[in-house]
Amino acid sequence: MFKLLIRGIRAHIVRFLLTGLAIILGITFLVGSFVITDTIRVSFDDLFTQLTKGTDAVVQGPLTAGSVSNPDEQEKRDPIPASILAVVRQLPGVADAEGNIQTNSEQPIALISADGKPIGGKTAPQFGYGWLRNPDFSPWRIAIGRAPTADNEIVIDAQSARDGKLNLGAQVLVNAPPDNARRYNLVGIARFGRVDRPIGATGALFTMSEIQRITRLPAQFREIYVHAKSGVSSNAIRAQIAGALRVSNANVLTGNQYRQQQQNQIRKVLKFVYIGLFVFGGIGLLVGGFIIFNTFTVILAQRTRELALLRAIGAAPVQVVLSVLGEAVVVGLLASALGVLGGIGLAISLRAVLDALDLALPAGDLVVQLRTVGFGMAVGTIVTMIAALVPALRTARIRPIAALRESAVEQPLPRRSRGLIGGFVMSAGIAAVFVGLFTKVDNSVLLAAAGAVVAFTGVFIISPLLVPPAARILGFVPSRTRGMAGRLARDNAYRNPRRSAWTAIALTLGVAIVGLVTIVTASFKQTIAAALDNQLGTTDYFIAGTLSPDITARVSHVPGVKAAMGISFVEPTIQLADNTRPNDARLVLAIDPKQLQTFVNLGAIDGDLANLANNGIAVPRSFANRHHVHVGSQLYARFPKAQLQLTIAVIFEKRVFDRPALLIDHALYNRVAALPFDIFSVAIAEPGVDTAKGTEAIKKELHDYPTAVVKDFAQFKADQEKQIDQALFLFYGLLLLAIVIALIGIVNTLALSVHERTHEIGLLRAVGTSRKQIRTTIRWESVIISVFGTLLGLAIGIVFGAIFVMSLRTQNLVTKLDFALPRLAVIAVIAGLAGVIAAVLPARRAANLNVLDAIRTE
Amino acid sequence: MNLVTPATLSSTAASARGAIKIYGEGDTEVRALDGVDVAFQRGQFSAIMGPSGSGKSTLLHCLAGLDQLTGGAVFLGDRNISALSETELTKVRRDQLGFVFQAYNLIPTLTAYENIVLPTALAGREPDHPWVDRVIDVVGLANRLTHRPSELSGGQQQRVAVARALANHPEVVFADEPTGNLDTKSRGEILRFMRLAVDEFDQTIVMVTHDPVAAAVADRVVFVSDGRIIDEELAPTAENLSSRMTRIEG
Ligand SMILES: Nc1ncnc2c1ncn2[C@@H]1O[C@H](COP(=O)(O)OP(=O)(O)OP(=O)(O)O)[C@@H](O)[C@H]1O
Ligand SMILES: [Mg+2]
Repeated sequence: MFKLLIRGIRAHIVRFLLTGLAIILGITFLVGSFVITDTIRVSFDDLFTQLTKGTDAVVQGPLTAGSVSNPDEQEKRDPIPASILAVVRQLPGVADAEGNIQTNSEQPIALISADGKPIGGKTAPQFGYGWLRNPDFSPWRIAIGRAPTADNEIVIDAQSARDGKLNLGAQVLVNAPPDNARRYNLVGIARFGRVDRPIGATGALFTMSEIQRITRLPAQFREIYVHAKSGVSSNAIRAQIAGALRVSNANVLTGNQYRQQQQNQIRKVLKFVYIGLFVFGGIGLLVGGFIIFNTFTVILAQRTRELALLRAIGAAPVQVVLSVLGEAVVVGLLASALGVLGGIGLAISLRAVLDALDLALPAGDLVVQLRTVGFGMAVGTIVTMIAALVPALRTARIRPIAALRESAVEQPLPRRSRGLIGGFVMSAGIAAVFVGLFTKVDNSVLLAAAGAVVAFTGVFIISPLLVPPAARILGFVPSRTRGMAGRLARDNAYRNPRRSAWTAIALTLGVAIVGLVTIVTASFKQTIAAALDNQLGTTDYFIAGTLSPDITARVSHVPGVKAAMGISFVEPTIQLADNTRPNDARLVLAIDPKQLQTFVNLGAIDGDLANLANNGIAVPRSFANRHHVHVGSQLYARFPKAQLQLTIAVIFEKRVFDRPALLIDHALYNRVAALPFDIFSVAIAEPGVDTAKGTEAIKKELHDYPTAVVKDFAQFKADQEKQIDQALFLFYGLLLLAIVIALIGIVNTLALSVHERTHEIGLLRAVGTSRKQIRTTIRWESVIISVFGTLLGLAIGIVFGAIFVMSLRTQNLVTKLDFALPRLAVIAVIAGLAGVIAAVLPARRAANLNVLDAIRTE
Repeated sequence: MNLVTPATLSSTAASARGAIKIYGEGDTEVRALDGVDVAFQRGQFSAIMGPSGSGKSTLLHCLAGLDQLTGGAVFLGDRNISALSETELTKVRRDQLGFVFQAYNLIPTLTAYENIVLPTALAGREPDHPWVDRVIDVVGLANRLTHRPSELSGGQQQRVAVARALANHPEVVFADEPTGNLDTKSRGEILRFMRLAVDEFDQTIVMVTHDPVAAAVADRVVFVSDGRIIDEELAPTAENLSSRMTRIEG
C-alpha cells in the first residue's frame, strides 16, 4: 500500500506541487508574520534592555483623569513637577536621577531644514526629547559633534541628518505651536542605540530647559529615571521612592517594569503588522483548502477504476481511504515545509522593504522559533487533510464492480438536500455575521469573521446548483458567436456542475474579498466627499498642518479672501448634570461662532451661536435627544488646563464634518487647551477671484510657516481620495495573489478535465474539429467558469459589503453606501481575462493531442 | 499485385500508392504498411480483412488522413492528400469524409441529433435538412434524436455514428470494425444501413473488419497480411471469406 502511495505521488509530482501551491503561499504568510514580528520584538527588546539597563526605577505622572484606559491607545499621563526630582535625589538609596520630556501627539513639533523640507521624510512622525546627562538613562548616543548645551542648539538623529544632508552648523527650523518657527544650530548627530533612529520616527534633542519651553511644561517632567546605589535592589529603590512620593499619586516602576511597559507599546504597534499578515495567510489557506478539495475530488473520480481494482483484488475500504489520506499528508507536509521556508524568505524580504522605507530595524539575527515552524507545519498539513477528507471518505463507497464499468461513479448530493443543507449553513453564517456586527457581544469581530467563513461554506455547498442556469446564460455569448466550438464550451461548463462550481470557488472567494473591500472604501470615500461638500461647500481654500492660531487671521487679510476660519479639537471628559458620561461626546471642535455659518451648514438650530462666547457649548440634535438636554442645560467638561461648567447654547440639526462633534468657541479653546493649535483652516474667496492665484497669494503670505500646506479646495478633496486609494493599493496587491492562486486552481482542474476527455477530443478532431476550435472550446469553458466564479464572488462581496457598511453606519463611521459599480465591472473584466489566461496551457495541450493516440485511449 | 490501373483511376474514390508506414526505430521498428498499392471504387462497398496486427487500421487511418505515411502517397479522388497540412487535412475530414469507429463514437454532451450534424455545425453550415431527415429515417432514429449517448444502447449509438458519417455527403465513409462491439441483431441492422447507403445513395464505404459475416455484405474484400495487400475477393460470401482467412492466418 505504501509503495503504491509513493508511486502515485511520484507519477504526479507537478500536479501535487500545483495543488499544494496555495497551501505553500498561505503558510508563507503565516510563518512570515511570526518570524518578522518575533524578530522585530526581540531586537527591540534587546536594544531597549541593553540601553536602559542602568535605570533601576522610573517615576511617571498619574494617569490623566478621564483618559480612557483603552489598551490599544497610548496612556495619557500628567506631567510631574520638578520638585519631585529634588525629593527623589535626596533619598538614601539613589545614586543619580534625571527627569525627561518627550513631545507627543498633543504637542506636535515640526522639524524643517533651511530649504523648507520636513526633516526625516514627509510621513515619519517627529519627536523632540530633552538631552540627558547620564547615558545610563537614555538610548541616545552622540555620533558626531556634541550634545546641546545652549537653548538654540539641536541634535538630530543620524538617519534623518543623512537623508536631509544636514551637516554640523546647519540651521534647523522648529515649528512648535503656538510659537512661530524658531532657528536652531545643529551641533550634533546622534544614534538611537545600535540603530540610526527610533523605528520610523525622526528624533530631535534639545536642552532640558528648551524642551520644557517648547512643550510649555516649565519646571516639569514627563518621567524621572533613577539609578540606585550599588547594593540597593531595584525593588528596594522602587519601594523607597514610592514611600517618599506617597502623597503625589505618581506612578513608580522598577526598571524591569518600565522596560516591560515600553515593550508592550512596541508590541501594540507590531500587532497591526502581525494581524495584517495573518489575515492574508488565513485567506491563502482558505483558498488553498478549496483548491485541494476540488483537485482531490477530480483526481479521485478519475481514479475510480484504479481504486475499484484495488478493492476487487481485496483491499478493504479503510485501506483505500487511508491511502488517499496518506497522499494528502504527504502533499500537506511538503507544501508546509516549502511554506515555512517561504515564510522565512518573506521575513527577510520584508526586512529589506522596511529598510528601504526608512523603517530600519536594529540589526540582529532572524528569530525563527520552534513554535513558528511547528505551527506552520501543523496548520498546513491539517488544512490539507481536512480538505482531502470528504473526497477521501467518498472513495470508501467505491465498489469493486466499478472497475468493470466505464463511467466514473460520482454520486453527487441530491439537489434538494444540497439546497437545504447549503441554505441552512449559509443562513447560520449570515446570522452570526449580523450578531457579530450589530450587537454588542464579546469577540464580536471574531464571531463575524467566523460567520463569514461559515456563510461562504454554505455558498460552496449550494454553488453546484447555480452552475447549469448560469452556464446556459453565460454560454449564450460563445454559442452565438463561436458556433459549435462555443456550444461545446457551454455544454462542457455544466456537464459536471460540481466540478465547475468548485473550480471557480477559490476565485469566488478572492473576488468576494476584493469586492467587499472595494465597496467599503468607496463608501468611505463618498462619505468624506459628501461631508466635505455638505459641510464646507462654500470653501475655496484649505490650509492643513499644525497651525499656529494666528495663521487664520493672516489668511483673512490676504487680498481676495473674503473670510477664513481656523478649526481645532479637544477631547475633554464630559459629564452631564446627572453625573453620567455620554460615550458619544468624545470630540469637541473649536470654531469661530461669528464665522461658522458662513462655512458650515448646521441645518435648523435652536438658540444663538453668539452665546457660545459665555462658556457656551453647541450640541447636535441627536445628542440632545438621547441625553434629554436642551438649550440652557448644564454640562461639566474637564479640559487639559481647566475644569468648567458649560451651558448648552445651541442645538443644531446637521452633524459637523459628519462626526458627532460638540462645538465650543475658539476663544474658550485657547484658554483650556494644553498647547492651542489649529488642525486646519478654511477660507472663502471674494467672488470672481481665481482660486489658483488665490492659493499662491496665501502661500506667499504664509511663507514663514513651512509646515502649513495650502491647497485649493478641489485639489484638497482629490488628494483625500487619492490617499485612500493609495492605502488600498497594497491591499489589492496582496489580494491579487489570492486570485493568482485561484487561477492556478482553474488551470489545474482544466488540465485534469482535458486529460479526462482525451478520447472525446480525439474524436472531435477526427470528425473535423480544427485545433483552433478545440482551443476556443477550452478557452470559453474556462471563461464561463471564471465569470461564473467572479459574478458569484461579486454578489457575495456586494451583500457582505453592504452589511459591513451598514454596521459601520450604525457606528457613524460612514454615512454613504457606494457600490463602486465601475470598479466592480473592472474586476469582472479582469477575472474574465484571467479565465482566458488560465485556459492557455490546457487549451494548447488539448489542441496538440495526437488524434490517433487520443482515439485509442478510452 | 498492382490493383491500380489507368482505367480504374478516374472512378477511384480513395487510393494508396507505395504506402509505407514504419513505427519505431532500430530494434523496435515495425513495418505496419510495407508498400501498399490499393484503390477503392466510387459507389462501392469495400472491406479490408486480415489477421490481427496486419496493418488494417493503419491503412484505414492513413487513407483517411488521420495518420501520416512514412513513404508513398494516399489520394482522395485525384487529390494527393499526403502532403496536406494538418489544417487542410482537418477540413478534408470534416467536409469530405465520414468516420465510424468501433466504440465511443459520440460526444457525450451532445444529443443524438447534434452528434449527427456535428461536422456541418463545426463548419458553421446549415445541414442539408431533407437529406439528414432521410438518413435519420433510414437508420430508424427519429424518436431518439433528443437523447444523449448515455441514454442509448450500443447498437443505437453505432447507428447514430453511421448517420453522422453519412449526414455530410462524404466522398468516402471509413469504418474501423463498426460492428465489433455489437450483438448479432444490431450488427445486422448496421450492415443493412451501410449496404443501403451504397445501393440507394451511391455512397462509397471502406470498412475494416475481422468478421466474415460483415465482410460478406461488401462488394469487394481485400486481404492484408504483414502490411501488404495479398489478395482480393470480388464475390464475397461468409463461407469463402472464412476459409480464406483461415488460410491466411494459418
Ligand atoms: N502507435 C503505434 N506505435 C507502434 N506500433 C504500432 C502503433 N500502431 C500500430 N502499431 C503496430 O503496427 C502493426 C499494425 O497495427 P494495426 O493497428 O494497423 O493492426 P490491425 O490490423 O488493425 O490489428 P487489429 O485487427 O488487432 O486491430 C501492429 O504490429 C501494431 O503493433
Ligand atoms: Mg485495428
